[in-house]
Amino acid sequence: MVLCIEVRDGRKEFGEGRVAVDNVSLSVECGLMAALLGPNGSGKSTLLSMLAGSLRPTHGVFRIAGLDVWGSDSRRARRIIGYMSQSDPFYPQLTGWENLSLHAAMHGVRLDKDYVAGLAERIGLSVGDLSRRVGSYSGGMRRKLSLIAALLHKPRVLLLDEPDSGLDPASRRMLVSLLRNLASHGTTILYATHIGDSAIAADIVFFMSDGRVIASGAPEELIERYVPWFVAVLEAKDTGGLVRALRELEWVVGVVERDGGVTVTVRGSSRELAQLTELAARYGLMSLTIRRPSLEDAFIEATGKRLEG
Amino acid sequence: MGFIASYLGTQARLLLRERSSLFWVIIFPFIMTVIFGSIYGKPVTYKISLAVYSAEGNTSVVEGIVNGLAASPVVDRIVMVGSLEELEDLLNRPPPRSVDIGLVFPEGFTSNVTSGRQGTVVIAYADVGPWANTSLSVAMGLLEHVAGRMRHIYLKYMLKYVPAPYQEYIVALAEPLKLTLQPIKPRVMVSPSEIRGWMALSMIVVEALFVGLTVGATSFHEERRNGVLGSILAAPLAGWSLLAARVLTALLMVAIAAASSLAAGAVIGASYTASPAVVVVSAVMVVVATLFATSMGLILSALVRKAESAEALATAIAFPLMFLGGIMIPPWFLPEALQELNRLIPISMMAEGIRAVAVYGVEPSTALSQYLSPRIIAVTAAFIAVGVVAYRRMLEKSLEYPS
Repeated sequence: MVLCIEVRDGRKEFGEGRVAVDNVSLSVECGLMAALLGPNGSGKSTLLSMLAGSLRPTHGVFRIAGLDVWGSDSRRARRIIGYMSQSDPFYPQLTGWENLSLHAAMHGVRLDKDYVAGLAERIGLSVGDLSRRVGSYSGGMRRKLSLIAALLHKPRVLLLDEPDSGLDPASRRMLVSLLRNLASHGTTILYATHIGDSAIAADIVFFMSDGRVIASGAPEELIERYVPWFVAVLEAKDTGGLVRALRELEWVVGVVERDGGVTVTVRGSSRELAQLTELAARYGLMSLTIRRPSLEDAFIEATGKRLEG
Repeated sequence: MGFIASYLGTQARLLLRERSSLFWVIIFPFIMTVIFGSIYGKPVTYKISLAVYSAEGNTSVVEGIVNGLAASPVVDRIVMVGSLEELEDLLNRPPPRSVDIGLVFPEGFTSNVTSGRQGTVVIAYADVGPWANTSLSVAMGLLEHVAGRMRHIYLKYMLKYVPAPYQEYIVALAEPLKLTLQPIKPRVMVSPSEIRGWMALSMIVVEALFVGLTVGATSFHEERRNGVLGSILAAPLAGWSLLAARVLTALLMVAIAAASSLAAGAVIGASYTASPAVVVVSAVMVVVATLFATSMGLILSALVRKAESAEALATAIAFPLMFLGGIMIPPWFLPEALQELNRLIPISMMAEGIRAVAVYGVEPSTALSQYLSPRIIAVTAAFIAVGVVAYRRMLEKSLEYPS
């Protein structure tokens, strides 16, 4: 297991004893896509800034591909990091191309216009947009430009702070597709988000609350761990028989008859779903709708806090 | 180096696209040079008006003197008045007066003068206002000239009656010193076109002061305002890269402002010495002035939290220094104590140094040793050192708090 992102006992204190990141430890294997999920103020951005090298930690070890970001390897580490901060780092008076040119120079590379045009197309920006002044961009367009800026030097590790903020659903899908593609080509990605649906695309998710990592794992694993239930809405020929049979089962938490159908709350996962389907089939199953809990439900269960706010 | 070049390109583009920057760096020096150059770069043709009262009436001697005065190029007009009261009334009028000086020929003046005795003329003037002393000086100069002419006439007359062997002693007694006039170019009283040149060159140093202070003071604050500070801090750049980029930005802006000032100078007919040596020495002095001002700005940057506060503080310091530092007004207009203080301020000395080589005709090597003295180099180096410390402190501070 080769780690490309590693934080050990990462801590950041600001004045008056405010602790933004509280002894966090986490690691991400190379080539994986990981998400930091938490509400605003949970310490995600602070953690990413410390990993990116733009905010000095109070203590802790921050390594990128084995290089100490705050030690003697600092500049080597920064060369392989692509960092997209929460604010869009652009001069509004300059065009997209001009801003990107400055960002390329920051990383010691020349602006590869063909590469940029390809990236822009994949996330829904046109070359014409890049020739316009950034001051005329929408919030979503600025986020897209920020992502391109972070990718200019083809970094091995991408650190993205709220990359999907302000994007419409179609653009979000394009973003996820691009990130997935990058990860499949070996780029390690850690992104911060406060939207559960955005974190679901990650290989590994870290729940952050009050500056600490509360839980981590694959999205499905986290859902099963914290919200091991689902709701099924059934329609069967023999509704009465089905209801009676369901009420006998230990893992069925609730049964409600409504508008000729039955809504069943089940404690369990795939095994229990298979048993439920088999039982309903015996009573003439006509339709079955499953509503599974979301990553946000798991977050609420794990931390006792909502993601918004 | 790629980053610094790209940063400079960015700043140059921002300059062209931001109206306020465009004004301060290009339009302001142009307009200021044109305005100040036009106001002060005019030929000084000061003339006075005289009121003459003769208590003994219009005698041939008085008439001769008055005609002699009227022929002088510095006399605008002569008004003959009939009484002392009338003369007093003219002089007591509030400015602008129609008469600057009054001449009174007392009774007996003609007989004294024609009988070999001393004649007296009273000069009356209103001892108020900025030009009172000038008028008085002009009037005295005129009368001395007239007295000299009269002495020559007497001498010529007397020599007819003195035996030849004694004539030279008589001349020596009447004229102990034989004065001749040698026209020279004084150190400060230069021609109108050179005064315009003085203004254009001074404006370059004013820009070095404003631009250097502002660029230095807004370091980090400007990048934070535009959101690029986080990216710069996270980039694999050497710690001094942003400092070098800021200093070179200041120099670039000053170079553009200098071009604007010189263009304005050309429009209003400014002239300066522009030999290669003068250009090199002047350029060195502009660089020193800019480095000094940028260092002061860097020190200010550590005292404020926002770009707006940094800009306001830089302007609050630059404006008084522009005048009290002897940059936009000649140093000898200032109180002696301030002149002494300015001899320690590098930017004041650079302004004087540039004007010395390009306007006053001082040898470049002399100007270098006189104005870029070890003391001034030491003061500049001290400010640069403190500025670098302030920069490092700001860099550390920026890494401590989110950008």
